[in-house]
Amino acid sequence: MNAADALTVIFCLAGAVFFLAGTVGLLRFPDIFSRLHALTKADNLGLGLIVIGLIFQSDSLAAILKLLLIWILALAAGSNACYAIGRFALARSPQDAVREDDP
Amino acid sequence: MNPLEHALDTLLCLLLLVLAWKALRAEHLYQSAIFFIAFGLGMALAWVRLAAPDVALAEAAIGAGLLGVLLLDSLRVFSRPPNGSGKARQNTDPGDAETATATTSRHPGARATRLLATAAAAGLAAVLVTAIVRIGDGGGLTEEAAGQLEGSGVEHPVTAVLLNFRGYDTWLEVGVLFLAMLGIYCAGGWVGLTGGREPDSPGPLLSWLIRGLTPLLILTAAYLLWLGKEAPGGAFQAGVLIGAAGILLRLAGYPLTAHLSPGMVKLGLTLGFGTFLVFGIAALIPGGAFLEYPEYWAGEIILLVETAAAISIGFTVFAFFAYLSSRDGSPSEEHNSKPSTTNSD
Repeated sequence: MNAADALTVIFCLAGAVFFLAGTVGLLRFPDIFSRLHALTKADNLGLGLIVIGLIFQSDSLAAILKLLLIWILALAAGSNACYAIGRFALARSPQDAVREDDP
Repeated sequence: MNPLEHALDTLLCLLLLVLAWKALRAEHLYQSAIFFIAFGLGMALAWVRLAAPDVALAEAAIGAGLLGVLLLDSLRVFSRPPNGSGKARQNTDPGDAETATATTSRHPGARATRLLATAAAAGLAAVLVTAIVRIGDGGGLTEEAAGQLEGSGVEHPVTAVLLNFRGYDTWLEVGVLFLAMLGIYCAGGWVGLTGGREPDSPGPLLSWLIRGLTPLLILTAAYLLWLGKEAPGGAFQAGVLIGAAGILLRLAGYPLTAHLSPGMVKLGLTLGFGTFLVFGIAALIPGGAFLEYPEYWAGEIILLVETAAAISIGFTVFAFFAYLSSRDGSPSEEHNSKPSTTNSD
């Protein structure tokens, strides 16, 4: 295993940890807003770390740029989805949004 | 194949079965729709595992993305009681979609319909299993297609099969989409397709995202279309992206259809089917078969036909959504635009 492979394993594993934490948060957190918080952390950092890990495996600049573009798009879409869901939950019923136990 | 891959594939198969079952048996129709979207994404993964990225792309774009949007929007429109706009507002809540479930199960013919559907599905499954067992190891017509690839005008075997060897199939697929659109046109009228009140602004963040994403979506569609020549991609994937751009713009409140004359919309809807037809018939003139492109021009013709098909697919996909969102004349009750009205109160 060379240095690039080792870096890939390290970054991808770190990304997987964030995804796992985000999923556990989504399942275990009590209300919509903290769940959204957990989920977007997984999206942003988890995917970012995995993208960094994969960059060490790509052989061309075009592939690296595509990977980064995917990350940026996922960031934009994720934060917007989070915003839309949060805004909808808040507008629907602020009490439910923070006290809900089961959606 | 190593044991880890075996384990992953088994897990994926189990996940698909569970998701399919959940989609069928979920308590609320809203949950069913969400499970169906997850099922579509799982299917896309399964196609990737089967080394069929073309199908995976189409499945993710159409099966999970587009169909998901249409299902959720249908649910929003049709789960609303026909009378009383005051109650309608509450019924946009996901949880209240259960009213729709309750009505279905109370329907007298529902049981018979369900049995019939089960029997039909079981029959289809039996036919498919027999087909899989009978395929054998040769891989069907793979070798023959690869042998003919040189004269097809493209380098990617899937595109060669879809647009040249079996162009008939793709032509009819575009025709099926066109027919579905005509059905919507018959039910909703031209207003349903082009008019209807445009939704309110969905808020600064979303409209910023949509303004940034639209050119990127069109660019990606063109990229996929061009890529179809040598790699996974093609008219359907590109068309769905164009349609998605239209849907996003409409959600953001841009009066997209107002900028296009009815003639332009009609042209866009029929372009794909028509172009196939023109080149199909033109192939007859020198004495060839229908849709048998001359070898010398095949690449250019395929690109032209695919571009036309992608534009038509985009228009058709957009028309499906536009009809739904204008159906009740109040598309502003879309989830992400609703809170803005509340904020301004």
